[in-house]
Amino acid sequence: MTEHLRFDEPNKPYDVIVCGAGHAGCEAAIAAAKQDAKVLLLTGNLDTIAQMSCNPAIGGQGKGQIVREIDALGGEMALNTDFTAIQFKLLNTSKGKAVQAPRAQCDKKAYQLRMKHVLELQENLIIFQAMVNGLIIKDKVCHGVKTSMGLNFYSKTVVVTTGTFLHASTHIGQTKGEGGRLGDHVAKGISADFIENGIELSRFKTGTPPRLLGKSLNLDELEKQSGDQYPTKFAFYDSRSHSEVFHVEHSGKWLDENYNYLGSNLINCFVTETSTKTHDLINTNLHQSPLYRGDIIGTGPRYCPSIEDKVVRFSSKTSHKIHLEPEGVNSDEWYVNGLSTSLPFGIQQKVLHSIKGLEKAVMIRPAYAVEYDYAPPTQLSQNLESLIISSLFFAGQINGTSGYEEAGAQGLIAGLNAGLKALDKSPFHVGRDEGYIGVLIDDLITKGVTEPYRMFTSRAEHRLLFNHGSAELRFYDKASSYGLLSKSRLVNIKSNIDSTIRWVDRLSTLKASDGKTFSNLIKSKSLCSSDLPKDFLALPKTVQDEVLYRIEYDGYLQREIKAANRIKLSEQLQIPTNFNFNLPGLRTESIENLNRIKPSTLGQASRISGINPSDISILHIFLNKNSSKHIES
Amino acid sequence: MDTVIAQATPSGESAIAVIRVSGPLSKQICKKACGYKKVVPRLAKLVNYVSVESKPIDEVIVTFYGEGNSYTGQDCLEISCHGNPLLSEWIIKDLIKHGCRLAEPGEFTKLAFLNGNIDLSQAEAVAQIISAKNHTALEAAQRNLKGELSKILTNIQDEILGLQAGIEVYIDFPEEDIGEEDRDQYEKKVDQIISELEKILEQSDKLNLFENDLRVTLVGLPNAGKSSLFNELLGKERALVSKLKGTTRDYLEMSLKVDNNWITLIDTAGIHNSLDELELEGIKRTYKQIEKADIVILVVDVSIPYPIEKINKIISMCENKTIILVKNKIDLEEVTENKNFKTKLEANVSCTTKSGIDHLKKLLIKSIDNIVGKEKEDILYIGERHRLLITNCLQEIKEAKTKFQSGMGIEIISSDLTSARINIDRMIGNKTNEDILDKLFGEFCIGK
Repeated sequence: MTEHLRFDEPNKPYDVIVCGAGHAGCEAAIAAAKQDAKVLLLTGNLDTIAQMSCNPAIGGQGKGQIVREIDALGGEMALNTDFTAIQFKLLNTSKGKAVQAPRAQCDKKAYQLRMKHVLELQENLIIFQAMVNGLIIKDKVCHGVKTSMGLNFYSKTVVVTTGTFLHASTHIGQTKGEGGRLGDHVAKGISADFIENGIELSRFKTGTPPRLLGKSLNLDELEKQSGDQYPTKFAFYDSRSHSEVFHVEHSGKWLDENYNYLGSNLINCFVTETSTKTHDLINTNLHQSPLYRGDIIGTGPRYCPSIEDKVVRFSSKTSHKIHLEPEGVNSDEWYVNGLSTSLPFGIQQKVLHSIKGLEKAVMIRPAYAVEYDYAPPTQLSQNLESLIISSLFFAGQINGTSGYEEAGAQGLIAGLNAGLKALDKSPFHVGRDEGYIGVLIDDLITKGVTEPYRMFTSRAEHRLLFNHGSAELRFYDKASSYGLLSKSRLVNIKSNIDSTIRWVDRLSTLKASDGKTFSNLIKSKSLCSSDLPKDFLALPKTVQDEVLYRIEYDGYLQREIKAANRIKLSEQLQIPTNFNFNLPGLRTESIENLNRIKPSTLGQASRISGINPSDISILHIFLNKNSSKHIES
Repeated sequence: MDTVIAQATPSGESAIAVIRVSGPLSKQICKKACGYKKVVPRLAKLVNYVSVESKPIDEVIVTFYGEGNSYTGQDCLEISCHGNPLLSEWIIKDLIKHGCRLAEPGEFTKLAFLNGNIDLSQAEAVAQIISAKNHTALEAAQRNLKGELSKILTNIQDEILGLQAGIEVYIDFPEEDIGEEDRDQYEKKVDQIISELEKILEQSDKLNLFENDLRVTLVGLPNAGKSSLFNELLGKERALVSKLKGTTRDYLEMSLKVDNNWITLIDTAGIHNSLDELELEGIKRTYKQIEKADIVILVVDVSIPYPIEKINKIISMCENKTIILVKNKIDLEEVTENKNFKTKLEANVSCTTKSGIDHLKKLLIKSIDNIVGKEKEDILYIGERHRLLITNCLQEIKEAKTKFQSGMGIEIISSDLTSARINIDRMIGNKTNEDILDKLFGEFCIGK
């Protein structure tokens, strides 16, 4: 039975408290609850659960793969996207399968409401609307949180997912407001608690474009972008039973009788571009942009520059592409992708009207920049737990990342580990040789961030091993040993892995009508998929795709596996927690870096900037010395 | 497990140089390179070290130490060769061909520790050794890399990163407004990098004197005194000398250090119209030697009339080579009607009275310096480790080129480029994928 809310009880009635219900917070709460931890999820506003504060899309290069990995680890983001999407597109179809990624435009409101419904129905989870304004920390251990209502909540572990709300301010021209999103509140008090307890904070900036009224746009002469005829979905369905596919759908009225209300191609996007007039307007009004006035000190993302940045930095370009994307099917609000700015409202309006198709556009929300605190993630362990305050976990934008998908992945890892720790179980790690989520976590805690961190496939050394279709197969062992997926799903995945291996082998000997093996025909791309053996075509789609992928990329995959194994080897050499890096022979600079990052494996140590091979040799020697002593005693 | 090698004695000239080998290949090297039939531990043996190509390199003393009884705890080999850096470098190169790899600074000590051969209480001392060795190695590397090579490598690293950025932008930003991919442009850039890498190897080859040192060839008509001069320059009686024509049937070569440079000095059979089959074969070989020569010492006998035509024919064969004309036998009476030739360098010599020999040596040194000096400006010093890394880099880049040409996906080519770049990284410092992104954002306007 669902329990009542338990507050002001210092005996820790909750295992995990998650602060914030954005993309990180939702995954954190679900992951912990699924481990049978008792979870309390606190949010300042129940109506903004899983809100997409910026663009109305999930996925894309690097990100789409992450969402599929989240699905393989039992997270919700993939299903939530599939069932609230209104346009599907597979990116990079002109390139190899290794770098293809799914993306979907979503109905923003539907996305939020469905996720809220999922949380409401989740076992072991209570959601409650309360503003967290402080942490209860004693002797470097976090015991719970304080709220603005004066209620205190106690738990064994706490996950903080503050997004852009920490000590946040918004900028429109020279108008400065408080809040992490236009019209919303700011998280106060927590920043002070962090600093007081020795957690370092720094500042980032991000921005969002204006939103327009659809009926005011002239789309007739603009280039139309439709979805793919055959949608590539994010969640894996071959392994799921029917009851696992539509969980909230059974309880609510999410679908019509044919299951096809959302989750299919319902809308088109449009493309237009800035004009010379746009650029003139921006150039003459640069002095009004807080970015150029120096009012904003936080670093913004290079891959998502404001329009004024683009115009100034690439002055030789006479126009920049602008994408118009609807925010939902039950709304006429449109997102103007590519026009993020912090120019004053009046200029924004002129800029919009200088763009083809937007001559009479009516703005219903202005563009703005937001500045917020983040805690440099090098202060975290591989579990996403603070190295400074025990039992305190961080996920999402507070770690200096950007993007719903990156946040979701961290939420999953942090929530899982917060739950595991509360239940006295061993932590859950994903290595950078295993998937994009591993690359994400390792980059954050080892290299830190210099701008809001976004995943790119080029960040992964062994990207060919991380094709989106293999996520479920890749994470089977992990999902199985931590019980992240249902038993029936695990059984199905195992059987898919077995048939994949079997069929890769079979097609290398089985001959087609012309006497060549199927493998050779697949490699030379001289085979129509319908020519494949009938038994093969009867296999689940996941298996078929993976078999073809492994055959096509055979030699290259072998090389990458070899290289990845080399990483794995040094990952296996664990460094004990509280290891003192003050070793003779190490340079002072190396000691400082090692003590700051506190790497948990020799492999991680080798990736810290400024650490050279001789430092690693020395570290190796002392680790050996320690472990020998351990055996002796 | 790797077999690692390193020179244990300081580099530079010395009485002997010791090369250490540690790892599973040690035994095999004893047998293949040192001619062991049975490998007996801890027994010093004088053997000829023979290269993979079956060339004898040097007489060396080899000692094998078995697993558990060596410094590192693994199978070990100590090879003492003569203390000429060119010799030890040649042997090290050959060991790499056997599958060994150069040890990282301090690696022997580290192995000794990890294999339990050094007491745990000594761990601190081991760490200090590694740190110190690394420091020295770093300094040495920096000395080597100072100037041109480092500049060139940094440039190549940058070009590879740039190429990767140009590729990655199409993978990670498929919907950006950045124009079409230009595969021709990629290929051009790859070609440029290939030619730069080849140039480094080519320029460094010029310095590789031991395998490819300057060839100084003595030629002339029979009985002009070439062999006497050969012995004279060598400082020992190596070639057989007689008053008979055609005493030297085959060419003879010896390594010789002149001033600071090693040269190969070659004595050849005299050129004349012989009917003797054996002698004719010798003369044929002489012509080949002239072709291969860098410096030709043309020896003429001043005591008899010059057969002008024959000598001119030899001179015409030496186009683009340095010719030193040696007028030999000046102790005898000179034939007065002999005219001068159009050669710039001339020495009047008598092997009997030794007169003029010093002058000839000076001319030789000057000629060698001229050739070496001319090339010195664009010679790069690269050690064996660097040569290996540059060669690997070149191979990977060529692989990438083949894939560009066959229309292979850029995601695969990118993986080759990374493999190539890692080799350069290991010489001049790491670049990461972060650096590619820096380049990418600097060059392309990204951001919908």
